[in-house]
Amino acid sequence: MNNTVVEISEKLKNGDISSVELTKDYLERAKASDLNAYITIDEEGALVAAQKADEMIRSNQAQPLTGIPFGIKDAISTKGLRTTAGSKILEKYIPPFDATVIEKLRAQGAVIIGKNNMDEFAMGSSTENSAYGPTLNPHDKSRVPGGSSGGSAAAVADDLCAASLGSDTGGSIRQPAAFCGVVGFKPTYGRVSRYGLIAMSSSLDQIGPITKNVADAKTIFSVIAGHDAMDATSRRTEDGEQRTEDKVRKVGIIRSQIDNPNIDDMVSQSIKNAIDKITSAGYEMVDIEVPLIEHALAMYYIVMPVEVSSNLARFDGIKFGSSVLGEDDSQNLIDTYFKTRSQYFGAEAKRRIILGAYASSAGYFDKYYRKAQAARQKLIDSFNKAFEGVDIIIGPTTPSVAFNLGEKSQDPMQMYLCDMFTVPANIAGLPSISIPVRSEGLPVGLQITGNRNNDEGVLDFTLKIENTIMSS
Amino acid sequence: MARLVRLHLTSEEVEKFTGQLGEVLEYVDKLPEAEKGIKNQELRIKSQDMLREDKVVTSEIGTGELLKNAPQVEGTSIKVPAVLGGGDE
Repeated sequence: MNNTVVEISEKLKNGDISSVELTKDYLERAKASDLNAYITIDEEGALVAAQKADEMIRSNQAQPLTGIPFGIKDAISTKGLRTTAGSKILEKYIPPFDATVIEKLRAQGAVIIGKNNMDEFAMGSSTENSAYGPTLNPHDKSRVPGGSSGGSAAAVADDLCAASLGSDTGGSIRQPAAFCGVVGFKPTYGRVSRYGLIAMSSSLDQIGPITKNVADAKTIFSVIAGHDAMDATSRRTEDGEQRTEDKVRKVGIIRSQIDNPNIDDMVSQSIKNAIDKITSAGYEMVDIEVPLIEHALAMYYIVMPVEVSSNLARFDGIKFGSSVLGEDDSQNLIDTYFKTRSQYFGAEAKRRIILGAYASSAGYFDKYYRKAQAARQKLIDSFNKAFEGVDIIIGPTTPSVAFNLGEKSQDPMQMYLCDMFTVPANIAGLPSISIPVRSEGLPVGLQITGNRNNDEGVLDFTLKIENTIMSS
Repeated sequence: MARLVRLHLTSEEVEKFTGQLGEVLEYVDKLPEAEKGIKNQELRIKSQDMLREDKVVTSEIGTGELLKNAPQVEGTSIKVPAVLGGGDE
């Protein structure tokens, strides 16, 4: 794929093109695109950043991301630049601060082209839940790009930016990356600061890169990772069990995922081909079992909505965001809450808020939330045990290729099942990446998951097999 | 339940959500009991436990900046409608 971060960085440093020229090209492409991959395009801010990048390059202060045109998922706060999280309730919200990851990108001289479309509050697997219209898949415009970071994945796939930052709560980086034929990496929970990410489910959310190749994902991860005092769950690597020196030899396969009757033939065939190629490259394949993994989606649809219900309580029409205040002087405080929330939240947000309140209510707490959290700890133990026998686990990212627009939008349960293979890594907090494994027709993603804090091991292994897999 | 989370639902929404959420509950009901009698304090996810020093960190963001996003402001305060009386609740 053309115009990777590494290639652009070389061109900028060699003086083949200036950051301002490059930024103008990308702004034109982004504006002319009919994919609806951006909610907001920041022409003015991008050109100011590009001028700074050119100065950095001229004074030999260029960093790996200097002058790189980025798209940013609209759930990540950008100071002075509208951040909607795909919701009507934040239609006019201008963050007064930058997310930590944005501060880090800006410090490197990166250029933000605009804010990528997404499912409302990152709830969805198709970007059809965006209040700003769906994004289209660049490989086939009658199909969804996946979600919730669908705008990011489509923009990277169609070169409307060199790379994007997305967020992944149950697969929202990896699933759209798989549908759009790009690379999507969800780091270990806590390795990248969540400060400034509009919260959906705080114990599951993680920011990560969506890129054209693995080298770019690695470059961006190394910039955005690190402890941050502003995120209480941020990990200090020195406390962790980081194993960057590890060499991957044994690769785990979960048979029930590959031979799953619910997955498309096209997907299972592509994954089996990829496994054959990895085996030929000298890796040992080991069949493993991860007890409870088939129940991860059920745990997810209890834990996540409970956290959603709590996180979205802040949208009350009083402190910030859209509001019915001023529309009707006779209303009291509680009317404002009811009217604002009912008018400005979309259907999926409402469903999850209600489900979460139900699953954590006094009468049902034991039946749902307590049971799910206990099972979650057991699944984490299962993964710990699995990683005693293998260095990495591989399988399909999604059960199907990109589906048609409208195909699942009226059937939430069918939509939720799209995340059956991606959710376990969030439940257990593990690093996981999706890379494209099919060069013709609709893309298919191979998912590679590592042990907690072994993000570097996942990226290094994936870097090694990337070319092997795509060669025919 | 919708009242508890401050949402008014239309009759169409009630009808649609009841069926949809019923299907989701049916799915999550299949989750087996991993461990009975687990205590509240044990519900935390051990690998996420992280402690930091309990100290105050001041923000560089000024009050004026923060209030720019508030729907109704009076001086340096957020204006709130009457808590009691009025309205239709």
